[in-house]
Amino acid sequence: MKHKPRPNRLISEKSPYLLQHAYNPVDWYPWGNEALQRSKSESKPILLSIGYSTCHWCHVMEEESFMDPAIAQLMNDNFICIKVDREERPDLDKIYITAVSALTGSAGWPLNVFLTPEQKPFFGGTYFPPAQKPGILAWPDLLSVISAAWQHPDKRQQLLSSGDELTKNIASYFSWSTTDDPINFNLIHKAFDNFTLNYDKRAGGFSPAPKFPSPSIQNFLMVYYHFCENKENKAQQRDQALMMSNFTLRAMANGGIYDHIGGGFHRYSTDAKWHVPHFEKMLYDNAQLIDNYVDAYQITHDSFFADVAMETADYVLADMVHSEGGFYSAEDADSLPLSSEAHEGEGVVQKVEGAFYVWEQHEIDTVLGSRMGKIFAFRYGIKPGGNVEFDPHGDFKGKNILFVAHSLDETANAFGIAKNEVEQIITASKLKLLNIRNQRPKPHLDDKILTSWNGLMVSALSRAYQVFGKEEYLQAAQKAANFIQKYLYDPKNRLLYRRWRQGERKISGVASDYAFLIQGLIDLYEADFDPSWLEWAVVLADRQIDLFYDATHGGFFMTSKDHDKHLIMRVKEDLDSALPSDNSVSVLNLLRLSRLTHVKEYAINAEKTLAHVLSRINAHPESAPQMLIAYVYSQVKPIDVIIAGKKDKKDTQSLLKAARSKSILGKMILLVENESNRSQLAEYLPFIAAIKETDGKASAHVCIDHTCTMPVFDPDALIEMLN
Amino acid sequence: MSDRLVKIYALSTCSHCKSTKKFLDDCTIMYDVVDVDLLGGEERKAILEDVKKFNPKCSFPTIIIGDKVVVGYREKEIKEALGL
Repeated sequence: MKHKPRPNRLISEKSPYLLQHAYNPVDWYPWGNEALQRSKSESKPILLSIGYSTCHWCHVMEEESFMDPAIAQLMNDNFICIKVDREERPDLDKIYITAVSALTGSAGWPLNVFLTPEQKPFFGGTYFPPAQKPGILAWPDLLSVISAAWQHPDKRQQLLSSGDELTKNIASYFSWSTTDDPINFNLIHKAFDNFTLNYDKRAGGFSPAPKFPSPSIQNFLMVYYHFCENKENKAQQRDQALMMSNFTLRAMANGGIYDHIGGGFHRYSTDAKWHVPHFEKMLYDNAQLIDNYVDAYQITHDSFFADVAMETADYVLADMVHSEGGFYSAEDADSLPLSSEAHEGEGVVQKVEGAFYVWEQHEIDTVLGSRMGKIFAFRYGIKPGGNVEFDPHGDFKGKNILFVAHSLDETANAFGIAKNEVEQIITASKLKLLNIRNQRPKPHLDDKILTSWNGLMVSALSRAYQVFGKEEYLQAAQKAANFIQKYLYDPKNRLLYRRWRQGERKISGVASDYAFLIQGLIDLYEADFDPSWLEWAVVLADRQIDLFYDATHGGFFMTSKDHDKHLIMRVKEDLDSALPSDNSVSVLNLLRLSRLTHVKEYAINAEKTLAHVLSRINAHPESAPQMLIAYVYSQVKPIDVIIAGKKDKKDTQSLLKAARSKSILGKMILLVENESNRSQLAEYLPFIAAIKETDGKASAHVCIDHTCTMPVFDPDALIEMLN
Repeated sequence: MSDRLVKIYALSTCSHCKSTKKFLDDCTIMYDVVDVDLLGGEERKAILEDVKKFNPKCSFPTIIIGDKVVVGYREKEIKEALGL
């Protein structure tokens, strides 16, 4: 039995990712004064290593190199080694990944960057193996080359100059020069055309393998569908947009990227068919995908989309929630296999990717019995020898990753039974398998609670509640918002923190913490109509403008004015990727809040930011689909539905249901319930003071495109008006 | 200053009506205003008939400026009608 080595400084951190490295022989520092000062006083370069706790290749490099005493010695002797959790510090991640991208043309995680003692990047890359592989330098060789160059006066000078030059280049990339160009509305159509070109007709999705779920793209396509809805000359584009979005959503939910037993989506698919995923589950993907499936259901009323949205929400509520309501960040891809199958190396059982999720056919047969097992195997593509064709690391030998191989109808026909009987068998089988699966060792849970990602989940659950009416979704959204208010908000200084874990809140909020939470609060207001959410959203929006807004060039910086004195620059995000950019979400927030409060500054800041980002993405509008949504929102006719009535009364509920029945771009619903919330709302919207129940009956006051109508009392009349 | 007669048919509960009144106040334009929803049965009926003549959709604000009709809070159109 080996003794556990002494921990390094990371043992005092709370980030699960940093803690994963606390027993490395590498003398890791967290990012901060102590490390940066030591680099300066000893004139040693910094090795900045960035990753996140559910990152597969981060684990690999940790095991292969950072646990190796000889390699650790090389690192400790020549570098000041700093570990950063990108989920805690997206600002550092953004700066240095941009540097590595500029140097090598691509980047990812683990991200290993070499910095001068002034924190300027001069070289970097991602994963390096412990010994040379074809096309990849060995990590110890790279360390030796760089430390030798650093020891040599002329070469050190070259490294310092490269650091200066690279820093200048990325600063210029992030600077938004002023623009007077009018916005070109054709960007919207150009983005649609480009998505059509990139679209995979056979398997769905908008890129070759590896395939990511791209919630922002589906979002844009559904907005584009609405945008073209009443335009006769755009009927073909409208249908195409909806088809691309919904086919992709179906393909994902039928693929192995979806957890057919427990609900929820894995991070991405390594193949084009969505079959073989990397198995980690991220809160932010699942939150945004719930939104996608809710939207698809609202447009099509196809229960397929509702089922996936609800299964995913139920997964989050079952596995990803703190007892006081905050949502955890992620579940790892790797987990320990059952002891009978463990590959033992040096007496240590190795974790295996996907071990928690995959099945051998005999396990299925044992749990379900022969008949049910056969039906289940037919439906989910299970094969005796395993069903994974593409398995470069040999993790899935003999294993099956479930995917929908046959529809319910096909399954019913193949076994000569009724479709509803198949459905019952499948549901019962899933439950049995879930119970068995829950006895397996669980993947590592990253249980830190991030404000921004929680904001996305508050939105998703609030919207799911509005459409499906499930009270538990509303309660979970309220509980999460209360959690953030209690543990991650400083009401005295009106400041958000980014991360909470085990009683500790840390790291000043970045722009996405404000933006995503504000969005969540507006969506939550539209779910429960408690004006205090709106009030908080307004406080946060004012604070976000105060701390992050660039009054000269428009847009929000990622970090506040006094976030971290060691940052070499303040950057602004403008592209939407796995997460939407803070600027895209902020623009839509400001447009929505300007309608809810009539504060002109919100609209002005939103327009200015829009103009800058859209001029930056002119050549590739598809790179910011979420910003294009904000732009469409700014262009469509605003529709306000204000309902006056007691929330719990039947007539109010009927009007609310009618108001929510159809998704309409630019629609906003307010509820005036009683004196106290009337006066709360009237602080922002003075006309609300006059809106009252008429003769004890609930009424709906509709304003479309700057004109209002007499109140209506009948839900059908309301629907007709909205149509 | 415009010398055209201005009349606003409005609702007390309507945000765009409030904004229109404020806009005209800011431009120091005199106007008559009727909050249709605050009127009693018969009177309301009669006024709604009037509004329909100018604006068949009977939506608010309906703004009569001289011989021009502007429906909705549209600053540019209101200014044009006022000759500002």
